[in-house]
Parts: sequence; structure tokens; C-alpha cells
Amino acid sequence: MNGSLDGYGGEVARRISLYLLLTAASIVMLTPFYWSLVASFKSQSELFDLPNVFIRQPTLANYAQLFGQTLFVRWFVNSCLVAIAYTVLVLFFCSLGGFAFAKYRFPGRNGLFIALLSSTMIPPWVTIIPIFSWFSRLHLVNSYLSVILPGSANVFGLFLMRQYIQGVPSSLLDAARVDGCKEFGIYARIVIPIIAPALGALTIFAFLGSWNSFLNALILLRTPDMFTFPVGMSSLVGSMNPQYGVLMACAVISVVPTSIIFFTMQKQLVAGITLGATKE
Amino acid sequence: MRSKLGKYRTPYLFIAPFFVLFAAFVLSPIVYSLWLSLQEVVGIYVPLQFVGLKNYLDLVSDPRFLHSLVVTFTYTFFQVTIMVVLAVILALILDQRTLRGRNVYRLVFFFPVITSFIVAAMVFKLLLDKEIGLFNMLLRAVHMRTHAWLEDPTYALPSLITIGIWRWVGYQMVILLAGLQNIPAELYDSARVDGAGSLRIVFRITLPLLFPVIFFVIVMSVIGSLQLFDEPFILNMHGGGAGSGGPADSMLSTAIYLYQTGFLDFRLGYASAVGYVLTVVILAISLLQILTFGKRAGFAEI
Amino acid sequence: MNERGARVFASLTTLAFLLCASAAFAGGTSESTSGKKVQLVVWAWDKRATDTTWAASQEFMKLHPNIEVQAVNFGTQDAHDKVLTALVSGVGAPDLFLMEYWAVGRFEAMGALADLTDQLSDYQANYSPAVWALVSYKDRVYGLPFDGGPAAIFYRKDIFDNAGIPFPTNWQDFAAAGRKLAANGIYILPVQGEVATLWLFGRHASVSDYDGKILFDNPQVVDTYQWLGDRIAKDKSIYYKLPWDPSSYELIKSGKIAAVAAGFWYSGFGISDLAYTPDLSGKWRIAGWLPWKAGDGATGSFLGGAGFFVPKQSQHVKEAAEWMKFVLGRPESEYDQATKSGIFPFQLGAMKQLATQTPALYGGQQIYQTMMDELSAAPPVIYGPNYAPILNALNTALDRIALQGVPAADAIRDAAAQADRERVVK
Repeated sequence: MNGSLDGYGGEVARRISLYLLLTAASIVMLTPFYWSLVASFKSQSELFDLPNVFIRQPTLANYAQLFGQTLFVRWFVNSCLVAIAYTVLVLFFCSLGGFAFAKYRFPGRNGLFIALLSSTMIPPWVTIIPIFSWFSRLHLVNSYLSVILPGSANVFGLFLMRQYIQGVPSSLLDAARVDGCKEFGIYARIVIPIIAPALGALTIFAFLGSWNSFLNALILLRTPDMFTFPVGMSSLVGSMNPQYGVLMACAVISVVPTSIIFFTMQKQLVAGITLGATKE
Repeated sequence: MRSKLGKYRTPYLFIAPFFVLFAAFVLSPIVYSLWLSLQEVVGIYVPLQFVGLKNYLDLVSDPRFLHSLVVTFTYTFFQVTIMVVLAVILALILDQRTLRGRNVYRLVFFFPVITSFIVAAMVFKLLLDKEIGLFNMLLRAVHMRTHAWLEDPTYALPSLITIGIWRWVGYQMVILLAGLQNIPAELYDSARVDGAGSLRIVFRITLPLLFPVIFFVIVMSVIGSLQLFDEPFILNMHGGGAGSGGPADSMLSTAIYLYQTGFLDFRLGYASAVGYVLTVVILAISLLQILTFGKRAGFAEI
Repeated sequence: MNERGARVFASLTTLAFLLCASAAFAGGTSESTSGKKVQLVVWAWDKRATDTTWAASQEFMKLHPNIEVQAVNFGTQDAHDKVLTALVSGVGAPDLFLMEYWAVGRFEAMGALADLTDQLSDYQANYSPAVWALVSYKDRVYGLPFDGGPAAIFYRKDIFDNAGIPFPTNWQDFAAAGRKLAANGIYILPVQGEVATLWLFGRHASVSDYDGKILFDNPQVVDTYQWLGDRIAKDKSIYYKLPWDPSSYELIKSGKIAAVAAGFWYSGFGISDLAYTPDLSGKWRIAGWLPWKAGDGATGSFLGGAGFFVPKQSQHVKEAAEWMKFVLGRPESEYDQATKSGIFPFQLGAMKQLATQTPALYGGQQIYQTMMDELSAAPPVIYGPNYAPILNALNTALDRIALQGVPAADAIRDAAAQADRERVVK
């Protein structure tokens, strides 16, 4: 195939087609974002006018309606509160548990760990019905706790922490022990600072996970003032007369916090994604 | 005895908080679910009724449940296969150091991962609309046939698969890129000295060495795809009502069926049985994968 | 060791306390009690419903200073599913909630509704029998109607005039008119999902009995769905989407849809709001439901509509019934709601008051009179306790007939088997 395009000329042609291909693929990837951004500045009547790729008369009406006539701000705050509380819990429990699994020997260690790992294969729908039942008996349905606690035994987080802490030299911990440091002190003063990058990665994962989580919240939150952002948005979608411009405004704003986290903490994010997969 | 317990006290204490939550919100619900799958809800002020294995026996002859399994497997097979192939190709291309702007491309492909699925589903619903969607508008412009991508049972599942690929391909690409980084450069150099072409290098050296990572990606994606719920839930919220299975049930994943039976019809026992069967299916498929390819992928040591 | 453990648990408990505090802080809306006032929590999914009942609620509060009404707007129609979730879990149910009529049977069968027969049976005389049947079940009364969905065909007189087609007087003529319009690139109707049931109830076909037995596997239903499927697939005269789908609005606005078959409530948010452009004003007309074929007598049908009901769990059933009587039971407050937000009044008194009104949107037609005539011919509709799986199965059946070319007899038979398997009440 490449015979006729041998040498430098062939290489250039190959490069150019590669760039064209990548750029075309990028456009496909980004079109939905572009479209929702544009749509959020259009009036409902202009939204579906053809061609609908450009804005003719930009308007902020959708945003005004989003803030003025829906509980959007409340949902946003709810989501933030829930995501922050959830993240704190996950960071603490996973790092502490991960430390134990990585650096201590105790009966049942491997068995427990394998049991934990295999539990990730269980679809959340199997547990949601009992969880719903639990919380209703405790009269905690429609509370923040009901959406914070259930996911906080985050096995992925535990796995991530264990992988990372295994790389911390045991000699460091032993030296601290010799100096009279207690076990919890070792965790708090030595392990935590060393694994800060991995904690950064877990922070992002936990936050994103909570921010986007839908199933639990859909079932467990019942009044609009308690909705998290995805449930609130789905209530806008589900109404008989969805205002698509408003929905798109909602979509655009929802990407802001996750984008900020993504762009400031890219390195940790990538490290977190790859740690589990490529560590031998 | 005392001293032995004391010896292990620290690690047990350290895993205790995690394990308490795990026991409360994962382990015991799993057990409770099993019990619930043997019961049926009769009314609000009436106690549960024990029905034994009836729910499971009903499942075997429930065509909608069996159909939901077909939908779920079809989705998983195509979504995972196409996505992994694309992710490998993208990773191989974007791994080239000489490629300018490769970081920008990586960001672009990763970006859908950080969007909420509900936003993604919403936008696609409008983009793929028969009359007013951008996609059909483009097709009309080049005089191609348009379709109701999300309302026609023929195209609904393929559209759903496409959305799934769009959403996750970047994530898998990043994992594969990290895997590529761990392949020692000397191996490539020596192959080049031997006069191997670049395609040959990819097939003879890169892909075999990358296999463990590819395998990891496949196993994890299969688990995720078999749990398909969010996208079809939002896509069909409007037309057929929340939790519907899409046009002619073409998007009825098993998880959606579970939602319908459990939370729309309140047949909690039957829904638990659906959930249990789905769990067993996922476990079995994951084990099968690990047993067939796990050794080669070095999956034995976790 | 002890110290270490203590520290771990101290931090844990602190966290737990913080979380519980935050949860309690934002806790349920129904739990809080202010002084000795009785709090009536009202759930509805439509802003229109909370807004229009709000004025009457305030008057009600003036008359009953010991009662405080709290209205919550849900936004989604699964509001009554959430009520059921609340009832199953035993907490957080409202005192009054808006519910579509089709769900009454299901709630009744689950034992979820407070029986208001003693408080409300005097009101029966104010409503037509078909309407009263929507809020009562097996001779017990559970609520009062809020809005009604007597079937209406909204049509663009100008489009029919331009095409030289007189507005049809039965559905077979309507199909012929649809074929003519389709030749001009205009759909005659948007139809999908639950809208199709209008034709079933219009032909007095039963889908279920009061005990939940599935009855829709019969030649009449097969015939109706085959007819609809043919209009969609063969004639291409029916646009296969719901009338409240955004693309339907767009096609209506651009004159590509000539008529809409729906409940009368579609006037309120469709014709006068989301599918509205100023140049369409005055071009609309309303027709009552059409007979199936030439020679058939006048008929009517229903789609949607909702009433207010009281869950058995409510601590304030008596006060809730008082609220209903005042806010929904008086003709003057219904008249008010109809004139302010276009909600169709169900009380005979309020209807008579409105009969002579001629909204400009409908070119001076006495639309309420048309609806009253329709209502007097409407058959009582029995949804039964299993309507959710029935509707789900019927929707899938129509998809299969219209989109996949499955013969209606097969699709309906499968749907009946499916609905029977998925019965909530066996």
C-alpha cells in the first residue's frame, strides 16, 4: 500500500491524514458540549430553528429562569454538601483500611480482601431495595445521610489506597515505631503525608462519583428541596413541558465544578485511573 | 488467646470503620435481598408473604426478563468490543511522542467522562431527534436517509451503544496509555534493528505486552455495561414515562426491568430475584473471563 | 492501644454526629410542627396545580386559623409513585396529593387511601356519573377531581379549509382526510403511547375490571390498534410522537400538524403555551370525540386528568377533607381556576357558568359547551388496579405494530399476556 508513497512524502501524507482523523474524531466528541452550550443561550423558540448550530439572538433568559424559577441553587448546594461529606468519609475510611491491608498481617486478610473486591461486581440495584428498607425503618429516607452513607464503603478507594501504601517503604514505619510513635500516629503523621498524591486522586473520584450518582438519590430523596443535582435535573426532564433551554443551562453549569476539578487535578486523576490497572 | 487478639487489634481496628459500613450497606443488603427474593409484597399494611422459589421459577418463563438479558448482553458485547478496539487504536496513536498536540487530543477524548450521564443523555436525545435533531439535519444536508434514532426499535440500541462508547472510550484510552508507558523502550529499539515494520511491531510486541491492561479494561467494562441503567432511564423518561424500556422495549436492560418491577409496580420480591440473577450472571461472566485469560494476563496476583 | 482506639472512634463519632446534624437540619418537610397548628402538606407535580389551588388555600387558612397549608410542587409526574414509596416506607407521606385518575385503583388495592365516603358523598350530585367514577372505586369515595381530561380534538380550521376538507364526523373519514393532508406533507395528528387509549375508551372498550383482571385481548382493541398502526406506518398521516413532545410543538408551530387529539388539559399548556405562536390565535377549533364509523352514536373519551386524594397514613384526614370541600368542591372556586388557568371544570355548576365563554384562541367558539356535550356522552372508564403494567404493555404493542409491522392480533395478545404476568394485584 505504502509502496508508492515511500519516503518523506509518504510520511507527511500519513501524518496529515492522521491529524485530520484525530480532529474529526475530536469534533464528534465535542459536538454535544458545543450544542448544549449554544442551546443554553437560545430562546425556546429559536432552539430548534434550522440550522441550529449558531446563536442568532443570545439570551440569558434560560439562566435567569434556572436560578429564579427552579430549586437549582438548592440542588447545587445539596450536591456539594453530599459530595463533600461523602468524600471526607471515603478518604478517611479507605486510607485507614488500605493501610491495614497493605502493612499489617492478620488472619483473614486475603479472604476479606477478595470478598471486598468481588463485591464490586454486584449491581447497585441488588442493594438498593434493602437500603431503602433500612433507611425507612430508621426514618432517614429523604435525608442527606441516606445518600452519603450507602456508597461510602468504597471498595475501589480501598483498593487504590492499598496499592499505593504497599509502595511506602516499611523501614520508614519501623523507624517511627522505634521512636515511640503509636500505630495511629504512624498512619496520621507518616503514611498520610506520603500518600497525599493518591489521596488527591481519590478525592476526585469520590467527588465525581457522588456528584454524578443517581440511583440511590432517585429512590431515597423524595422532596424537591432535598434533591441532589442529577435528580433535580431529571425532574425537569420528566415534567410534561420540559424547557430545553433551561435544561441546557443546567447542563452547562453542572459541568463547571467537575471541569474545575478535572483541569486542576488532571495529573492525580490520571494517576488514580491507571494505578489499579497497571501496577504489577 | 488474649495476647493473640491484642496482637492483631490494630489492623482490625483500622479496617473496622470501613467494614462496618461495608457490612451495613453492602453485605447485609445482599443477604436481605436474598431473603426478600423469596417473598412477595401484597399490600402496604399487610406483612410480606413467603413464596419460596416462586419468583425465580417465574423468571425463567418471563419473556420480558429473558428479553432484557438479550438486550443487556447485546449492548455489552458491542459496546465493549467497539470501545476497546477504538481505545487501543487511540492509545497507540496518542502514545507517539512525535505527535503534536497529543495532550490536547487526550483531554478532548477524556472530557465526556467528567460529564454527568444525565446531561449526556439529555443532549443526545435532542441531537438525535427525528425532526429537529442536529444529526438528521446534517444527513438531510447531504441527502442521506434520516431515521428516528432513538424511537425506532431498529436503531435505538445501536444509538445507545454509540452513546456508551462516546462516554467511556477516553477513560479506557487513559488506562491503556499508562500501560503503554510501562513497556520498555529497548524492546521497540531491538525490534527496529531487526527491521520489523511498525504494524508488525504493534502486533508482535506492543499488543502482547499490553494484554494484561487490555484484559483489565475488558473485564471492568463488561461489569459496568452489564449494569446499564442511567442512559436508557433518562432517554426514555419522556416518551414512555420514567423507567420505560424504550420503543418496543428495545432498550429494556435488566436493571431497567428491575426498576420497573421494584419501584413502579412495587413487586419488591420479584425485583430482588431479578437483581440476584443479574448478580450471578455478572459474577459468572467475570469468573469465566478470569479463568480463560486470567493466567495470561497475570491476574492471579492481585 | 486504648488511646489509639479511642482516637479513631472519637473522630468517627464526631463525623457521624456532624452528618446526623446536617441531616436533621434539612430534614423532612412534614415532620416540623409550628406551635399547635395543624400542618396540611399538599403534594402536586404541576406548578399550575399548586398555583391555582394556592389562592383558595389562603382563603381556607383564613377560615381555619388553626390549619396551615404547605404546598410542594414536584415537577414530575411520578409524584404519586413517590407517595407510594413514602407509604411503603411508613414515613413522610403528605396529607393530600394530586394523583392521576388511572392510579386510584392501584392505590385502593394496596390499601393506601383514606376512605372519604362519609365526608364527600354529598358532592356526587355536582358531577356527571362518568366523572364521579374517576374519584370513587367500588362505591367508596376517595377524593375530588382537580382537572379533567375529557377527550378533545384540537384542529386548525385554516389547514382543513385550505385543503378543501370539511372537518370529519367519524374516524374513518378522519383517516381519509389524513391521507389527503399527508399528500401535502402535513400530519393530521401526533399519536403515541397513552394517547392511543383515547380510541379504546371512545369505543367503550374495557382494559380491566375493578379487580384487576386483564380484559383488553379482544377484537375491538386489536381492530383499533391495527387502525392506528396503519395510519402511522402505511398512510404516514400520524406523526408517531406524543403531542407534548418538543418536536410535536415545533411541527404544530410550523403548520405541519393539523390536529391534536388529547385531554382538554392540552389546551392549557400545549395550544395556549408551548405550541403557541401569535399568528395561530383564532385558527384553532375544538371538536368532541368522534364516533368510530358513520352511523355510530355520539361518544366521548378521557385522557389523563387528576384529582386530590388523602393517604391513609395522614394524621389529619378530617382537615384534608375540609380542604377538598373548600378548594375543589365549590363551583365558584372551580370557575376561578378555569378562567385563570384554562383548567377544565368538572362540576356541572361551574360548567354551566362557563358555557357561553368564547376564548379568542379558538376563534369565538363556545369550547366549554362542546366539552359539556362530549362529557354527557362519555362512558365511565375503568382503569383497574393494574393500569400501569397495562399501559406499559399497550405502548409496547403499538410500537411493535407501527414500527415493526407486527400484526395487531399478535402484538395485543402478547401485551395482554405481559400485563397479566406483571399484574400488581393478582
